[in-house]
Amino acid sequence: MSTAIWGEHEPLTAVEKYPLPLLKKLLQEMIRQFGATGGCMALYDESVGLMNIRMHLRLRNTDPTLVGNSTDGDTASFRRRVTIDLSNPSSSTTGRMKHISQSLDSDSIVSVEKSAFFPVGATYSSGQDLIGYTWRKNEPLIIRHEDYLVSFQSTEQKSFPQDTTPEWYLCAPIQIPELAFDALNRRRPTAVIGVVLLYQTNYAIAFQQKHRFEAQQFSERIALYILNDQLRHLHLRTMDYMQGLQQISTAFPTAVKLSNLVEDVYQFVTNVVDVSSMLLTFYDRDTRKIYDVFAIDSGKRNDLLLEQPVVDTPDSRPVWWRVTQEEKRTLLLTLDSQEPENYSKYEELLKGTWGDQSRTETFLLLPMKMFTRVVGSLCLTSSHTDAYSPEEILILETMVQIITVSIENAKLYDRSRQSLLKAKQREESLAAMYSALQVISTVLHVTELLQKFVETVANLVQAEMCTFFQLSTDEQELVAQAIYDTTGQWRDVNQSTNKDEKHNDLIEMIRLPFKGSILEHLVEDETFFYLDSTMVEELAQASAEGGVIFLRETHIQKMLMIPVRYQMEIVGILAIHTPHSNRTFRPEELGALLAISGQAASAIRNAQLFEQIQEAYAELQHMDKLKDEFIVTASHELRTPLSAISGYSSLLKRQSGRITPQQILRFATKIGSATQQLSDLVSNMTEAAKMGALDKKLELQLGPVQLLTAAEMAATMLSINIEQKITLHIADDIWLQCDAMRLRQVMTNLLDNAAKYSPPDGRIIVTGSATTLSKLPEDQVDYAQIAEGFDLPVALVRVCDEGEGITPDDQQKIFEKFVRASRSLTTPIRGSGLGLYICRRYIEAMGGRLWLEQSIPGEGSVFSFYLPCIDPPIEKSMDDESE
Amino acid sequence: MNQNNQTRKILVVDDDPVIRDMMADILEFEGYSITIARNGSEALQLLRSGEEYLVFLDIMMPVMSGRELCALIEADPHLRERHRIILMSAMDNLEEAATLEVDAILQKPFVVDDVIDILEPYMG
Repeated sequence: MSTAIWGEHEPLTAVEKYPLPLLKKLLQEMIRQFGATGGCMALYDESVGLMNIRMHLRLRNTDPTLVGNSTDGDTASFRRRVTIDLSNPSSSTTGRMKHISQSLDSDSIVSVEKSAFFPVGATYSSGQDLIGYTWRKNEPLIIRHEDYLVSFQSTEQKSFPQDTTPEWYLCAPIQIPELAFDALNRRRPTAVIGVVLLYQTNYAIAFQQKHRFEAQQFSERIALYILNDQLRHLHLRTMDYMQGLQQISTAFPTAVKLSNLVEDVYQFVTNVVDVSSMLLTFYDRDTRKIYDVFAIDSGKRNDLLLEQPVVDTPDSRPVWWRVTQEEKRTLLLTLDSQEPENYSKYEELLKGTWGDQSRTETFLLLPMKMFTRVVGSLCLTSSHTDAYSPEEILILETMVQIITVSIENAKLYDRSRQSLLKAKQREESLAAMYSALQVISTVLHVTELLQKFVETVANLVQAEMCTFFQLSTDEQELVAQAIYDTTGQWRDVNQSTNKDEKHNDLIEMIRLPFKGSILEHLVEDETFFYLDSTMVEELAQASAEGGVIFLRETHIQKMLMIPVRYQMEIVGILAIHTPHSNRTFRPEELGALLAISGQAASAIRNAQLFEQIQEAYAELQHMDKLKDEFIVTASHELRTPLSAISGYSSLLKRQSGRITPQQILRFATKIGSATQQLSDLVSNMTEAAKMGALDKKLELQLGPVQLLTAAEMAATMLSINIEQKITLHIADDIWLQCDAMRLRQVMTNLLDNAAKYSPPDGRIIVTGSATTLSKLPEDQVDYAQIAEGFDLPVALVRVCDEGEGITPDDQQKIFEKFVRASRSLTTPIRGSGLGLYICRRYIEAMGGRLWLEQSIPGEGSVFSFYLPCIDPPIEKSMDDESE
Repeated sequence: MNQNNQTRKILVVDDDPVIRDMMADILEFEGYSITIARNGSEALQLLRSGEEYLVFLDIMMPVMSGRELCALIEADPHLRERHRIILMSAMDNLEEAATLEVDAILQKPFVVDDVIDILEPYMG
């Protein structure tokens, strides 16, 4: 809505208020009807309070300076016709107007712009001169020129021009008939709106008494014409106002700009009424504040107001409050000296943002009503008395009503748009939160989960940095688990994210004290709290290095701490840093954070549980796999001796009639050997079980053992079943401090393996030699023993075969617990033992080492071990052992 | 009991000498002479010679397992046609054994009668 609409209105000009062309015609007619030589018409000028001569007309032929073509006949005919017209009240105004305008085509009566007497523009106060006198007397008057001179020109003889010296004057007030006022139901304004004066230059043709009455009637008609015309204009203007109002009301809701609105209001108001000052005030129910938003003091605008409205409380504006909020009425005050109580009673309204209005004449307050509420007021003052007429007030009230509705609409619109915006934002943040929660809830990896958590939180509230501290299991301290940092301060920590372990190590250096610290108390009592710099410093003093760096280097001014609880149990603390601004979070942000923290707590707990379950499950799976492999292998190992027992015993039975005693012996030996194998297997399995996850210490029966004897026994036992020839190169004076049975088992195992992977004609050579620890291959020595200054005497045993060798892949595996060997099903290590794993365990338990010395594919392998050596014992025990 | 069809020879493939010896003892009493291989690889060499064999094949062996040997025989129609394969399998391997293309399965542990019963259709 542009102010141009209002600009289209011309201010009410004299021409508008007094339609001069019409008045001229009326005066012309009057001159003719009364047979006058000329006349003038003075009209009341409100602005100066004087009668002002607006026109002066004279018969053309009476003025020698004017040349006219009118004739007496014309004059006569005009007089007749006009008389008819004017005396015919039934004819319409426009109809009469038409006749008049037609009848005056002759131009016999013309304007005199520069008359020697009663010139156009001359003004008269009440009682001054003939016009002022008639005005005051308010009745028609006929006076002779001599009398006029005596009565009104007494002081100094005014020289009248000779040619047109009036002899008679007929003067009548123009006043609106009483009836018209009644019909309009308005207070009677200035009774006399003008004075009409006719003069006659021919002394012989005097005005008669009847003319006084006729003049009165005629002037009343003039008044009616004027009134009618004014009403018509008023009507047109009202139409314009209405149009303006409509435009105001349709324009506002879509684009209300307060500055434009008040400007429009001001323009509108000044168009309707006289305004010297104006004040627009709003009242905001929510804040209970009064705002002066627009003020004009005597035409001068207070430009600052729009930017910085004056704010008041209802208490400081009691009168305004009473009038607008309690009385809720339009207040019209006359401020002249006759009513001094108005001034004292409403002084508050008259002074303030719009200056001091107490010297004005009229004050008008229009409440801005929205249903029963009053949301503000529009105050106007005018320097004129009775400046605001009832219908003008009505228009203003309408306007105020419209702008009130518009402003409220705009406010509502804005509010609903804002709440829509807010709702949308909330929806978005909820959606973000939901998806964040989704992510969090679905992540079961604790580290990943926590990283997501802090990242989500930081993004949700646009925090520079966010850290999650987990309460240590002993509840002594809080250990950082995840940091999200946009400032780059902790980028070093974050960048090593890929190297998970290192990353966590670094982060976990950041520890804050919990037990006995301020944190413990705050966590107990609060759902959230802020750490200020004093508290941060207090914490830093109780922290270890990592925590100190964290607390001091991040320059924390304020840190939001949210305890993360799972049910009632503290899981940790979420710390939201805002190192670069002293920020307080909004309630809705806190709400979201608390919600997400609650969700995260259970997600963290879930993930922790899941991880525990995962670990337990993995352990279980591992155990299960071991068990399966164990069963498969063990049952296979059991199957061979069982098959032998079953086969040979059935053979004995089937062939009992044909079988030779030698064969019986051989078969029985086989059965016995298989039984021994079974028996060994069972005891070894028991041993292996003992060496399970619990890593129980082996029960050893240590004693002196002759190496050669142990080797011979093993070789003899094996030789029944193997084709390869076993050669022993062992001195008989090598004695070991060990468990005899274990040693025999190790030897049997090594020989069995050698045989299994060697061709039938392959040789198996066992060597035994006494040496010391320092002479052994470097990588097989426990240097701690040497460093003690004691070079241990040991026996080195080597088992060499000519087998296929062991692939590099398998060289390490073969020492793992047999059940874990990947090719255990296809390349089982069979025999009385359960593999190199047990052998190694045995040797190590007895203070030695066992290793694969070399393995060359196609040529053979060498397994070696050493055990501590001792001096040979006395003869007796030697005999016992060799049995 | 020496009226056996001598066109087909018996091959025992097992890495365990106890089992090999026992099979030899059992079959010699029945009048068969047997050939021995200690793993799949040794067996394959024999199978590729001109002889027709009835093979007693163990599954778990080093170098080349019974499973691997079966796969090789299966891939060679000539070998498959010439030889009959009897798998010696423990109970826990039966399911796996059933997936191999063999002529019969001898379940461990077995008695002499089981061996005789299972070889007769091929040697009789």
